[in-house]
Formats: sequence, C-alpha cells, structure tokens
Amino acid sequence: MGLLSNLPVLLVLLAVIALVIYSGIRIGPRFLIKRLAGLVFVLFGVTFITFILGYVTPGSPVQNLCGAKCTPSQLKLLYHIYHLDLPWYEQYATFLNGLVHFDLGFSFTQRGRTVWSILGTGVPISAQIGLSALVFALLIGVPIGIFAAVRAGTKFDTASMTVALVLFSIPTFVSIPIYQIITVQLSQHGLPHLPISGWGDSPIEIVAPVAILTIVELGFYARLMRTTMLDVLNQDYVRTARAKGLSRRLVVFRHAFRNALVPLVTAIGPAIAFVVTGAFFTELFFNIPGIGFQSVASIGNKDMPVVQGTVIIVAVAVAVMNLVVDMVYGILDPRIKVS
Amino acid sequence: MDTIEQPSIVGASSPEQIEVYDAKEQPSISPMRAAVRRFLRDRRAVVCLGIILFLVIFSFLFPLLYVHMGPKVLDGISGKLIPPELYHQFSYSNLAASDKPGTLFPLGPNSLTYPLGGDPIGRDMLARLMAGINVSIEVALFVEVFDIGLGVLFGTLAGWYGGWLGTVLDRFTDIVFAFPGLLLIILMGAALGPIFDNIFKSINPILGRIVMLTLAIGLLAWPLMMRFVRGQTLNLKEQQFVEASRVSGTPDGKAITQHIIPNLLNIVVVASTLSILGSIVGEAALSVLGVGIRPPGSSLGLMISDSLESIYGQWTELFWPAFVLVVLIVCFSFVGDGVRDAFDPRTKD
Amino acid sequence: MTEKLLEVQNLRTHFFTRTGVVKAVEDVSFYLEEGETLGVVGESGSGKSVTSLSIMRLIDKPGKIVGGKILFKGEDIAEMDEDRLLQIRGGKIAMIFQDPMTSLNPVLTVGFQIAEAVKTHLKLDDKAAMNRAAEMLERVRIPEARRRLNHYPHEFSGGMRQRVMIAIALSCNPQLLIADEPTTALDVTIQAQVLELIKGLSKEFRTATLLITHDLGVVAGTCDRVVVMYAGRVVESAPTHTLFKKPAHPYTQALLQAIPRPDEPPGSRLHAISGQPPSLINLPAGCPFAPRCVKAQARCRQELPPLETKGAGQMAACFYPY
Repeated sequence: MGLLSNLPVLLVLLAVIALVIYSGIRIGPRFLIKRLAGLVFVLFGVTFITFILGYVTPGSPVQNLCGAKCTPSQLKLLYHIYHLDLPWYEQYATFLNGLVHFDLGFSFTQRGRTVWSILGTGVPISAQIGLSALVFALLIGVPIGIFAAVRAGTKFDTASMTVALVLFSIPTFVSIPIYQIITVQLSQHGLPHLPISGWGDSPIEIVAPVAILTIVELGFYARLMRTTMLDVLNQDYVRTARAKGLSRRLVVFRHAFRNALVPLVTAIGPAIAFVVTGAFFTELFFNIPGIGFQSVASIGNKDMPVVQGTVIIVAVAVAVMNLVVDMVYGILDPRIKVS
Repeated sequence: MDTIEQPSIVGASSPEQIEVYDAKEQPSISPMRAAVRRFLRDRRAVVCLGIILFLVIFSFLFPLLYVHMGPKVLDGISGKLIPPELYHQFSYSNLAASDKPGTLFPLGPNSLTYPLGGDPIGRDMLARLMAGINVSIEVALFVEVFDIGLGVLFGTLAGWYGGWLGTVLDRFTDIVFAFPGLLLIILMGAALGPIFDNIFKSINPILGRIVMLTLAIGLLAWPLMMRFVRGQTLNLKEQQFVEASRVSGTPDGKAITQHIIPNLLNIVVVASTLSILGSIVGEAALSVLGVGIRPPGSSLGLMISDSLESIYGQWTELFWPAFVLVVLIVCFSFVGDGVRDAFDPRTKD
Repeated sequence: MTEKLLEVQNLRTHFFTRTGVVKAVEDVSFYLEEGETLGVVGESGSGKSVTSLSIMRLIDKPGKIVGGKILFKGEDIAEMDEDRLLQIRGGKIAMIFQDPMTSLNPVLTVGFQIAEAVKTHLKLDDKAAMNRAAEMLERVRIPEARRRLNHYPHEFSGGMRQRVMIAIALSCNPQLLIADEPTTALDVTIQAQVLELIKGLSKEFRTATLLITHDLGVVAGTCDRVVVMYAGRVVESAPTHTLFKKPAHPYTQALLQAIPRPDEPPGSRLHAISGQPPSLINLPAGCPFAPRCVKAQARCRQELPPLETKGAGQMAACFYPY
C-alpha cells in the first residue's frame, strides 16, 4: 500500500530522470551546462531573497527551542550553534557553504531534525496529493475542454465554461471551510461523511483534499484546453483534414489535439514543479503534514532553514521541469529545435 | 433543413474570410471604442462589472450613512446604551453582540442594529464586510498602479533597447517565477509587516499593512506585465510604421511615447484585469494566514479566518465574507474574460 | 441528355453574423461534365470560395447552405448524411486550398498525411498506403520521394507543399478536383509549374477540375469553360474562348480590360473598375453590378436580370449585353 500510494511520485521521478538523461544524449552537454548555470544563478537569487527576508523578520528563532527555563547563557550558546551571532553576510556565506555540500543544516524549531529529513517526510505527502489532483484534473478537464471547443457556441460550451470559471475562481481557503462546515453538520446528524481533516490515520483522508484541489485545477485545464483547441480547430490544416473525408473523431484527436498539446505542456510543466511546495491552504486546513504546511509554519516560527529548503527544492524543480517541457516540445512539434 | 447543419468543427469559412464591404455604411470608429463596444455586447461581463461597481460604491459610501442608522443598544461590558456611531464602526467590539445572528429579515425597527449579525467578538458584520471590500479594492488598485507603472516602464525599455537591461530583467523574472508565489508573499508579510506597521502607525493603523500588501503582491505581479509589454514592444518595433518613424529620425523617447505606449493599451488592459484578480485573492489569502490585514483592521480574508476560530458560531460569519469574496472574484473573472475577448488585438467582429 | 458530373442548382449559402445575414452565395447554378475543367472567376468577396466549400459541405457556423441542390452524379450533397459525406470528401471530390504554408499539419509527416487519405478511401494497409504515398510524391515531381515521406511540412518550400497538397488530393483517384486559388500564395515562377502540374495530372487521372481563381490569365490557359461571379451571383458563363473573344456581361468586359497588356504604350493608365462591390448584407434591388456599370439603365436598378442564354453556350445575367 505504501509503495502503491507513492506510485505517481515514483513514476514522475523516473520520467524526469529519464528525460534529463535523454536530453543530455540528444542535445549534448553544452545545453545542459547552460541550464545548470541558470539554475545556480536562480538558486543564488531565491536563497538570498529568502535569507534577507528571514533576517529582517522580527523575533528570535531559537527561543522556543531553548524552552521555558531558558537562561541567557543557554540562549547565547544556541545562537552560537546556529551561527546566529555572526553578521548577516557571514551567516549567508555559512549557509551557501553548506548548500554546496548539499547540507541544508538543522531545523531551528524541531530539535535535532535536519532540513533534509523534514523535506523528506513533507515533500512526498504534498507530491502525492498534488500529483493525484493534477492527474484527475487533466483526465476530467481536458476532455471537457476539447468537447466544449468542438461544440463552441452551444449550450454545453457556455455552461461548462461558466462552471469551469467559477470553480477555478473559488479559492481553497473558502471552499475548504465550507466543506468542513457541511461535514460537521453531516456528522452531527449521523449522516455518512468524509473525515473533516487529518492525515495518516486512514487512506480515505486523501479523498477530500484531492477532490478540492482537483476541482480548482479542473476549471483551469478545461478552459485552457478549450481556448487552444478552438485556436487549432480554426487552422487551415484542420480544414484539409476534413476535406480528406476523415471522421470527426480523427480530425479532432489526430490533427487538432496534438497541436493543442504544446500550450497544455507549457502549463503542466510548472504545475508539476510547484506540486512539491504543496498546496498551502489545503494542507493547513486539512492538517496534512506536507511541505506546504511545514513551510508556512516555519515562517511563523522563523525556522528559516526549513523555508530555505523548500525554496531551494522548488527552484530546482522549476528548472528541471522547464528542461522537461523543452524536451517535450521537441517531441510534440518537429518545428521546434531545442537550443 | 437540419441535415445541412454542420458539425461546428470550424476550419472552413469564418465570417472574417468573407469580406463585407461596408466602408460607406459604417462610420469609422477607433480600435479602443470598437473594443469597448465589443465588451458591452458581452452581457455576462457587463452584469458582472455592474455588480462589482455596486459593491465598491456601496461599501465606500454606505458606511457614512450607516454609522448614524439604528437604535441605541446595550454594551456588553459597560452595560450602558451605545449609539450606532459606536457599534456600527467596523472595529468596535460589543461583547453582547458576539456571534449574534443576523436580523436582516424580517425588516423591523431592530433589524438595523446588526443586519448581518455580529462576529465572534461582537463587531458588526456588515460594517466589517464593507470595510473588507474597501481594503480588497484599495490593495487591488494600488497593486495595479505598481504593476502597470513598473511593467510598462521596464517592459518598453527592455523591448526597445534590449541589451543588458533585458538580460537583467530576464534573470530577475527567472528568480521571481521560480519562487512559490504564496510563500514569498507570506515571507514578505512576516518580514515587512511589522516594519511598515511602525512607519505608518502615526497616520493610520491599517495603512502600513496595505502598503506592505501592495509591495508584496505587486512585486510578484509586475514581471508578468513586463513580459507582456515587452513582447508587444518587440512586435511593434518590427512594424513598418515604427520603422518608418525611426528611419525618419524620430528620437527614441518620442517614438516610444507616440508609437509604442498607445499601442500597448490592449495588452495592458487585458493583463491588468487578470492581475486585479490575483491581488484580491492574494490579499485575502495573506489575511487568512494572519500576515496581511490584522485587527482592528478588516478584510474579507481576516473575516473568514475569524469565523473559523469559533466553529460553533453563526454560519453566516463564514458565509458573508466567503460569499462576497467569491462574488468579487467570479465577477472579476467574467469581466476579465470579456475584456480579453474584446481587447485581444486578434479578435475582430 | 447524359448525367452531369456535378450540377449546382440555385445554391444559396448565407452567413448569419451579428451585423446581419451575409448572402455570400445567392442563387448560383452551374454544371461540370466529366473530365472537364471549369474556371470560376471573381474578385474577393464574390462568393467563389464559399461556393467551393459548399460543394464540400465544409461551411461552418455561422454559415449555412439555405437552399438549392448540389448534385454530384445525381446525388444531392446538400442533403447527404455525414457517413456518405465522408466517402465523398477526399474520395470522390478532393480539394486543394490557397495557402500551402498553413494547409498541412505541422506535426505529422508528409507521408503520413498522404497515406492517411489513401487508407481512408482506398482501404489499403499501412505499407501499401505508404507505397501509394511515395508514388504520388513522384507523380507530383518531388525528388527523392521515398526519403521525403518522413519529412515534416516545414522542411518543404511553399511550391513543394502545394505539390504535396496535390498529391493528397489526387491520391484517391477523385472524380472531381476543386482547386481554390491554388497558385495565389505562390511565387510567380512557381505558379506556372503548379498549374501545369494540376492540368497534366487531372488529364492523366481523368479528373474533372473546378478551378477557382481571381486571375483571368490562369483561366485562359487552363479551363474549358468559365463562370464569372459577382456579389454572390453568377453573372456570366461561357466557353473560355467565347468569353475572351466576346464577353457578354459588362462586368466580364471590365475584368478583361483590367488585364494590363504589353502592347499598350508605356505610361498609359491601367484600367480599373470604379467603385466597390456592394455589401452582401444589404444588396441593392436590381443588378448588383449596376452602381459600377457604365451601361446601366433605370431598369437595371429596379429589376434583377436573370441568367439567360445569349449565344452558343454563353449565358449572362444582363439586360444590355455586349
């Protein structure tokens, strides 16, 4: 069960690794090195901004760690241990030094836990929820979008696109409380209901958060797909395909759909990357210990190493996904040459 | 003749392909007016714009009247009678009105005391709601100024001159786009919130937070605007009318203000309706998390998070702010949709 | 009388737009014999393209065929169900479009795009279809045809792509080829080659051709008969040589005059038709060409002249022909 529930994560990871290797073979190391340099620069930028923001945030990060009976000398020791007694540039330099050794340091608030271990428990949870929602949203949203485009101007088109826009517009910090209030009511009346929140007790707990995220993303992908399909269906080559006497199904799926995939991939790439940060509100409201929950809580506690860790893995994920997207472009559209 | 009804896979002849010669019959109108006319034909968008305008004007003006409306009520702590001038202020907390149900219906003389009820610590829901809408709109407008200002300035410069400025801006956007947006604004909220509170404390307790939200959301928003503007500028620069003006020796500054900026209108209008949406959601999200607007200020997000504090309070405490927020967001989405269809340079009648 | 290959009778195709009903094709009739080449000439907006798309039933909303018959070997295409229509399209009637740069699917190989049509209509297997595709590429004189099968459209030039379009169109041995401005988007030097190719191949395949063009020069060298359209209507139809020698309708005459002649002295003015075509939304009563016609009388502005026989094989819609 454990392996099975992490299957989507594993599959995506394998696919990403395969694509990076494939890209290295196909377009040579120079391209990869250029991308790597870009990544290093972005990493430098995001960690620096994060560091400065964390540095100016008022409050002491290690007060809690020290506990209630904290003496000034103990506090001073803790400051020393975490290098917080150094000037800001030395603190950042220390951090960077750790980073190049793949050492993200220890959490300020969770005693004895490395940032890596916090990321290691949080990211899979977030990714599992995020990827499941993405897959469902695509499976439902893309066909709706195609259908709406093929029947542009009909009642189905107008109705489904209106609903999609409304679904996409409702923020999760509104829909989740509403879901929870309804669930509370159901449970008070002894009616069957899904868990209000929680994680790790029963597999059914994943249903509500995934469903809520799916609904939001579904609206987005349905609308995106409709717009691009409509654009493609107006192209001359679609008319050529129709003039050949191809059935409507073939025209739509063989000739139009493949051309509509490029914008879709452009949207999915970053979406997969940001899956690793988790959906903040979903994790907060459902009490899911994913990385989104962790990082927001860490900002509140001034636990900057954990925040830095999150920011770093997102930056890396974005860079990797951009690479993947470029590769997929090359496969989808023979006109695009990766360079 | 239903058999002739074609499946509407388009591809053949859209009406644009049939040239209709109407030169004499239609007076020429500017592209801007044509776009506005197209927008006005989208009934859904127009209705939504009406709803937004109503909400905004109502919540700006009605509080002036509202604080003088209603009978005197008992204060929960002092036990004295207090006038509406006090309890209809969005920040006044009357513990006797805590989790008070709404009295909007039936409309009696007392229904004006707390028309939408009281929140968990006895503040008037309607007053807070109106103040919350004000904050949403203020933040959205300030972000827009920031967004358009920086986006158009740097977008045109980068598009026109390219070079190192373009590279610097590219790298900067790379960084911003690699950040998880919400995390960055939460960080900025946590870091800058207290600083701005101190700076603006003497003027207005909420102002500091509004400025902070504007900066945080604006910083995330403008790179996108910049990209749009820059793409459009690059496009325009290649156009013959711009080339003609450059060849004839028009100075760069004049060429940019005369030929580029006016032609950016469409893309700026479209991009900014989209970012208004982001600003409203962003402000509410930050306030839900407690790093945006804070008490005694009011915000739709803050009201949502307040209502969650007492889950056994009135359901209307969640319903009203959530409802107004969703109405605002959905309406802005439809308006944005209509604006995009009407102002997209590619669309024609 | 033998059955005509294609007989369009009183075809009316309208577009229901926001500003009004655009009567793009109004009461158009013509016919085409087997193996014949018919030119349809008119300026843009005259309804010639809409006519050709109507024959293929490729008119989409807001357009609609609102009346008339399109008899293809006696069968009315206008009333045909979707299944039969799919057999006709590409199989019996094939079409070449104006812009070869956008008419081929950029993400599919050229070979696939030809083989696809072959598989649909000739029911060949993959391998046989690819062989047919290669053969067709050779027939349209694309060098190294077999190697080029695996290339994508962007690897071909405009003229080459139009050849590919011709290959697709003729791959299923259609009885009618509709070429909608096949050379308009091409370089002048390529135009003649492509025209020659269409002419030669349609003879070889014994395919009748409906050539839509705004260029009377193209018609002169290619077509057996010509139909002239103006404002959605047929104003004249005649055998090509008759039309050039003795045009009946003043519009045809004006079109012929507008062709620049090398024998005119340099510096002499070009002949243009004054005025503009009418709006297809509010067509004036009477002859649509009357406002621009030098010979127009009071009657022309009140009554619509019917299309009548004026000479041997020549018909014109004019009260005061020649």
